[in-house]
Formats: sequence, structure tokens, C-alpha cells
Amino acid sequence: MRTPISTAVAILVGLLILLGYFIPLEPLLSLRVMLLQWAVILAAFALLVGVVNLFRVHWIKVKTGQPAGFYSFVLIVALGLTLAIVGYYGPTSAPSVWIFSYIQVPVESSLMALLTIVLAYAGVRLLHRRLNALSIVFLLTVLVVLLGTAPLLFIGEAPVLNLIRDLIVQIPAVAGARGLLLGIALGAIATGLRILMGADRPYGG
Amino acid sequence: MADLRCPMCGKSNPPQSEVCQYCQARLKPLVAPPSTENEPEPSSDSEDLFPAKDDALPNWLDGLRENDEPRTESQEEQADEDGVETWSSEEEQRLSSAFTFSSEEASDTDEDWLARLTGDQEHQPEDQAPLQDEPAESSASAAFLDIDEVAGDESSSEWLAEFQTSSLGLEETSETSLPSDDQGEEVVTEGDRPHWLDLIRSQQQKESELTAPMSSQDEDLEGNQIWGDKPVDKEGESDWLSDIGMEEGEGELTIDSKDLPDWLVESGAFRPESPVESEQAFPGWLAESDLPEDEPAPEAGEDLPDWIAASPAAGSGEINKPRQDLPDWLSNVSEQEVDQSGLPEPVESGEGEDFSAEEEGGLPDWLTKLDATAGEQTPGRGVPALILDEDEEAFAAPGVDELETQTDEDISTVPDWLTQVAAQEDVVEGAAPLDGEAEPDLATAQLPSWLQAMRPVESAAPSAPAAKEKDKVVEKVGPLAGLAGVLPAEPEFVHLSKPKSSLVKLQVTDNQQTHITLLENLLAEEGQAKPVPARSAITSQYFLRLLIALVVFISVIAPLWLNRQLLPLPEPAGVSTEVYDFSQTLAGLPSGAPILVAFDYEPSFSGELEALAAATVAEAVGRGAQLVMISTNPTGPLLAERLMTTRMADVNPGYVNLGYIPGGAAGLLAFAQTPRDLNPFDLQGTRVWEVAPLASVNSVSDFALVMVLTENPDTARSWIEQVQPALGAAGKPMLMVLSAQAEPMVRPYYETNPKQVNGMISGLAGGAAFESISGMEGVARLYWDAFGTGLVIAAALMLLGGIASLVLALISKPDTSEGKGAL
Repeated sequence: MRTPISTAVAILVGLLILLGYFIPLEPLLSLRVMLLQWAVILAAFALLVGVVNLFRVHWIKVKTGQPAGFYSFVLIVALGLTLAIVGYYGPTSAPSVWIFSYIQVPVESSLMALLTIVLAYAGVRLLHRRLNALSIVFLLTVLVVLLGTAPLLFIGEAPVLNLIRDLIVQIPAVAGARGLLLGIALGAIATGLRILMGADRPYGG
Repeated sequence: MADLRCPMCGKSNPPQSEVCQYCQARLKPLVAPPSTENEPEPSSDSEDLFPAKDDALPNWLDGLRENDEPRTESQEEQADEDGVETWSSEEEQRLSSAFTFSSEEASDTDEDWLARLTGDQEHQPEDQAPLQDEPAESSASAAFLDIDEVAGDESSSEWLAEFQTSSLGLEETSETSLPSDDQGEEVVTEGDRPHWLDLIRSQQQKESELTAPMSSQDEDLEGNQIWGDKPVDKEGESDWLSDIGMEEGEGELTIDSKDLPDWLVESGAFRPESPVESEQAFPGWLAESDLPEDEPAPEAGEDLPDWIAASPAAGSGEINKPRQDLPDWLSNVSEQEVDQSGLPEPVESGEGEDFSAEEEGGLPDWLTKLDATAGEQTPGRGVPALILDEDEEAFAAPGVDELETQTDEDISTVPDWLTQVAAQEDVVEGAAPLDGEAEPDLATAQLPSWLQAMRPVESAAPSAPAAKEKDKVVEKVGPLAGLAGVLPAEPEFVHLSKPKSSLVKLQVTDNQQTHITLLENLLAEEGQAKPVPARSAITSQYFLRLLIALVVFISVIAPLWLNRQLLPLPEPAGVSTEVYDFSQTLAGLPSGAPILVAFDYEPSFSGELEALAAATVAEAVGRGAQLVMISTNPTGPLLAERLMTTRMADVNPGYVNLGYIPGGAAGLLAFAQTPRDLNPFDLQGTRVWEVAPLASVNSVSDFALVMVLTENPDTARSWIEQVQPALGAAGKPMLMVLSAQAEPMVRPYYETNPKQVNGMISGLAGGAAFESISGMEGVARLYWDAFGTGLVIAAALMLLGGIASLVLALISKPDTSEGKGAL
């Protein structure tokens, strides 16, 4: 009983949204906006449910004494404090911004910086792990792009390197990107049609 | 005379033959028996030569008693109508002379009638040519009735006339009556042939068929030919009488038996003692014709005729042995040569001709043999009617025994001769196997010659014994359980059994076996947990990583710490077009126009994008734009706040932070259509849509510019797909501030026509170029030296690592090849 209703609702809503693009009727546009607002509300509520679920999972870990329970405790504490401070002071208050600026942003930035060291080390050991033509080409490409992006120390900009870098970025890279974008677009269309036809039911119907 | 060709086997036979010498098939058809409807009743005036008519006596014999019974015309006509074969006058004369009794002799006793017969024969003319036109029958007994060959005589004619008027019930007429002896020879035409003669002949023919082998037997016995085909001369002396050894003056046969003539009794053909059954169709001597198998065949004597000498019985030589008890006429039969040219040679058979030559009380040998055989046989123990197998006997034992018992007891129901004959036939059939193996428990029977002659060719040839019942499957279920050789009650498929599993050996080579073993080992090891070797915390790679990190860290920190600005910013003339367009777009903003700035990047990318955002926002603020911040990322509003509070503090521009838009693309679409409804409050909870700068904004197209700051290509695409159409319709630009990794995915939107992205800045280099064009020194300039140094050091490290790897690879290959060569 539940499956046919959810499928019917999904199909109906999708058709209405799609028709809004082609038929500029006021009632249809109003209905479309209303449905989109409902989707936004549902998404916001889903985020809240996610946060609650996150708290519950880690709470269970802490409560059952699982091996990673300490980190779950830290998470719960941090969640609680942040929620309390931001809720009390406001999201744009100094404490909130301080927590964000000095805790969240540095932590995430540091993880990104480690990625730099890892990529450098992977580049150094690339040919040692896999010595073939493609690996060599990849390494040379990386070198050219890196060296053509910024001026060289004690040398300055190298026009040849800049030109090669621009060519690599704008031609083969963009070409690949275009292909990806086209594939993504076509896949999105097919997925949308499947949902509209009821073939796919990602909503659990 | 042309030979007769047998219709069965196609072989030639003598013209006188009645039966084929090879296959014993009749060459000439039998004469239809005359009807007995008009059989006259025995006359009361008939001579009492013979005893009263008895059922035990054949009809012809009864007819001998009657005389002076003329045959009426009606009877003769009836006889003709019945198809009785007409006789010639000569034949009837002979017969009449042979069987004629005078009135004077009618009063004689029975003992004298035969004497008269013999006397009549003596007076038969010698020149009376025997009638040999008619082919002689195979049996001598049939010759007796062969009236065609009977010569006519006066004395015999009377006697013959008596026959005509006797038992057949024919009244003698003055016209057709047979002449008496005194009257001389009587000419009997074919039409005047007495009916009783036909009956006699037909009856004798029947008897001859049954007693055909016996004819030779009888002949072998001292040459007596009781039934002969010998023609009778004209004088009335019947050859049949001469064949049986009737001499002059002799032949006084005394009939001792009450019912039978003595000569028959003395000849052994009938045994008064033998139980004569009323139902018996054949005489007793015929019933006792079985001979023991062990009796050797008599040797043929020199004076015996050929047909007698050819028989094994004659070979025994017993034929010439005189018998004491036999009358002279019977004993002298062997001395007379009988013209047996018309008689067929008896069929020789190994058993049937095995006549015993034992003497037993003066009886002929063949009679003694018969007696011996009869005596040997268990009384009442004939051949069982049903021969059963062992299993069958077990099943049907009670019934079979009972049957045999009944068979033994009810002798009266089954004549002895029939059982004995059947026993002989069974013995004969199963007594001659091809392989010569005789069953030890059954005695081989000896068939008489006459019986052997009756045997067909295929049965005469020894045939293989029938398949033993033991070889056949014995039925175990159903009503036929215990019987063998029957159709199975249950079909074969009922008895299903598991099919035999055939062992199929697959031929596997050694190499395949090796592979199989290897695969089995691999599969066995798959389920086993391999012990993880302990790994040391500090390895060479650990130091390498530390080294690389240290080098990169120093290359980056040192310029920042030194703040030398050694590396110059890109030249404004040499900046990329997208950066130029971005700059130009911002330069074209009207003053006080609200611009929407979307902070959709992650905090991890804040180091790169804040440098770009700071420059662009500062430029926009410098152009008088009112900032409206929004984000589809939950951390976006805080990033905006962070930027505004840290980087733009000194500027302190007014901005509206609308906060977070949930729903991803759907939220953007909704915001693009009804931004007021989607985000009616800012982060402080203030209604900003009623005050400037958002008071005049009803849709996203009302913004002068939309600038999206993101590191994710999908976010950029969502903005472009959901929001840009509204902007494009309104002619409002969209700018992108991207991370260096997202540039390739967004550039296609920049390079389209019309452009979906009016300008973009990607990475720190773009920021530096923008700052170069804008003529400001922002965060990008601060990071530019460290950025450049770090890139160069990283590239250098990679290059060194690659070179080192190549060299190591080149060095290791020659060592491997040398190692292989050494091996």
C-alpha cells in the first residue's frame, strides 16, 4: 500500500516541476514554488534528523564502551558545547565565530595541508612504484603545471612554461571536463526520467 | 507306366504306389466311404456261419454271415448315387467267387467257411491274370478289400453274393445276386458291385493307413501277408488268402473265440484276453504294436521278399523262425514269395523297425514284442499328458499327480493304444538330439515301422531338442507364479534399479595434475588466516616522508617569515582573460547595487579561497556594492562572517547574511524564484527583505551580480544550472571564484556563447593576477612568495624522486639479468 502511494507522489511532483519549465502558467508556477519550498523544508528537517542520529550513534558508543568511545565522547561534548554557545550567543556572535575560526577551520585546513605533503611524497615515489610511460608522462605534466603556475625562484616567470601550462589546462583538461559534464548531464536526465516513470525509487518505495 | 510324382516332395514313385516312398504322402486320393443309410438289416435267413452280429466285429465281417440277400435295385441305385466306385465285372467275379457261399454251405459251421474259401482259391484258374491295373495300396490289409483285383469264381461268387446280401442289408435279387459256387463264375459289372464291398474296402483303407507299418511287420513275420494287395486270380482263389498262407486243404480255421474268428485270434491280430474296449476304434494288436527299443532288428532272410528283407525286422532273421503254435497256413507264409512289386518299401527308421525276435509262447515275434512292451510298461502308467519342468512340477505338483493318477485310473476313458502311441511319439521326438546327448532319465522309444512311415520328413530328421525350461525366466508374481516361459506379469521397467555407476577415469597429464594440485593448495590456503608480519614503526619511508614534509614546510614558512616578496606578481598584461573579465565585471557594478555572494566552500579550502574572496569582495565593496551572503553549505554563513570580521574589518562594509539554503539544487531553484519566502530572516533573525539592500529584491535576478565562491565543481554547476538562467534572462552576470582544482570543470561554462559564467578567478595565481589588475596587495600577494617557493620545491622533489627511481630501476635490471644468467 505504501509503495504505490509514494511512487505516485514522486511521479506527480516531478511532472509538475518539469512542466513548470515548459508551461509558464501561474497556477503551475505557484504549485511548483510550493513544492520546492516543501522540499527545502524536508531537507532542513533531514539535516536536523541527521544531527540527532549522529548524536545517538556516538552516544551509544560511549554508553556501550566501544573501542572508539572516547572520540565519540569528545564529539558529543563538542556538539553539545557548540550547540549551547551558538544557540546562546547566536551563530554570528564572537564565540561562535571564534569556535569556528579557531577550531573548525584550522582542523580542516590542517587536514588539507597534509594532503599536500602526501601528494608530494606520492610524486617522489611515483616512478619507483610504477615505472611506465604513462607514469612518466603524468610526472612531467605535474612538473610543467607546477612550474608554470608560479614564477621560479630567482628566475622569474618562464614564458614557455606558462604557455605550456595554459595549453595543458585549457585544452586537454577542458576537453575532459566537457566530456564529464556531458555524461553527468545525460545521466541526470536518465535518472530523472526513471524516477518520473517510477522505475527508480530512491525514496525507499 | 509313368512314375507318379509326389505332390508334396516332388519325387518320383512307382506307379503302383499309393503312398510316397519318401514323405509318405498319399499319391492317390482316397475313395469316399459309401453311405450307410441304406444299410440293410441283417437277414434272418443268413447263414449262421458267423456268430450273431456283434458290435465288436467290423461290418465287413458281419457281412460275411449274410447270404442270399439279394441286393435290391434301389439299394444299388442308392449305392451308385452315393458315389460308390463301380467295379469291373472281373473284379466282382473275383470277389464273388471269393466270398460266395452256397446254400448248402450255409448250414455249415463257422469253421468251414474259411475252408471253403481256401478251396475256392485252389480252383481258381491259374491263368487268371491278376488285376494289377489298380495300384496296390500300401498296406496288405487294403489289398484284401481291393475288390478290383479279386478274381471271380463260381464258388467265390456265391460267397461273394452272400457278402452282398449280408451285413450291408442288401437284398439279393435274382438279377444281381451273385452266382453260387455251382453256378460258376459270375460276371459282376461295375454297376452291380455290392455296396458292402465298398464299405469293406473303405474300412480297410482306413485300417490300412493306420496299420501301414504293420503291414511290413506282418509281412516280416513268416511272410504272412494278412492284408495284401495281391490280386486274386479268376478261379476265385483270392491272393489275399494265398498271401496269408492258405494252402489246399488247409485253412480250416477254427474260430475259438466267441465273437471273433479263430484265424484272427490265432494270427495274433486279436487277443481275446486283451481288453477290448467298446470304444476302441482299432484292434488290440494295433494297440500293442509298440516295441521295446532294445530289441534288435531281425536279420533279413534270403528267401524273404525284397520289401521284407529291406525292413530291419526282416534282418533279424526271426521271420524265418518257425513257430509252433501258428497254423500251417500262417507259418508257410514266409515260404511263399509274394509279389511285392506294387507294395512300397517300408520306410526304414531306426526305431520303428526295431523288432524283437524273441520267441514267446509260439506267438509271432512282433506279437511277443508287443506283449513284452506292454508288460514292461507300467500298467496304467502311460505317457503323462503334460510334461512339466521342475519349477512347474513344484507349482503344479499336486495337480499333476492327481492328473496322472486320474490318468492312470481312468484307463477306460483313454484307450491304451492311444496312450502308447502318444508315448512312442513323445519318446521319438525327444530321443534323437542333434548333439547326440541323450537325457539319461528318459529311455529312447522304438517306433514301429508303420508308425515311422507316418512320421513326416521334418519330424523324422533328428532335430535339436527344445529349449530347456530351466533357461527361461520363472515368473514370480501374479497368477502364473512358478511357471516358466510365460509373458512377464510386470513390465521390465517396474524392476528399476539404480543404474550402475560407471567409473569414468579422466585422463590427466602430469602438467594438469600439477596445476590441479596447485589450485587445491591455493583454495585450501584461502580459508586460512595468514599471520600478519609485525611492522616496525620507523622505516626508511618514514624518514623520507619527514624529510619531504620538512623541506616543503621550510620552503613555505621561510618566505612568509621573511616577507621579502621576492617573486613578482603576474603582469596585468599577461593575465588570463577570465581574470580580466572578472575584473571588468566587477568594475561595471553600479554603486549601491546588491550583489549576492555565495560562500559555498569548505573550511579546509579557506586558506586558498579567502585570499581570493578577500580581494574580490573588497573590490566589490570598493565599487559600492551591497553584499548579500548566502550559502548552500551549513558552514558557509560562518565563513562569510569570518571573512567579514577578519579580512574586512577595517572596511566594515554592510552586508546581509541570509544564512543557509537547504535542499541543494532544489533550494537554489526555490531561492532563485522566491528568495524572500525561502530566507525571510538573516542569521540574527532580522527581517532584511524589507530594508535595504533587499527591499528591492524580489528574485535572484534583481541582484546586480551573483558571485559564487566554491571549491566544488558540482556546487558551481548547480549554481550555474539553477540560478544562471534567471540571471541570464535578466542579463545579470555570474562570477566564479574557484579553487584551482575546479577550474577545468567550470571553464566550459565560461567558454560558452553566450557565457554562462562571465568571469572566473581560479587559484592563488588568479587571485594574484586579480590583485595585480586591481592594483591592490591583498592576501594573495602575501602568499605569493611562499606559494611559488613551495611549488618549485615540490616540483624539484618530484623530479629528484623520479630521477632516482629511474636510476635505481636501471641499476636493478642489469643485476637481475646477471642473476638469471648465472642461474
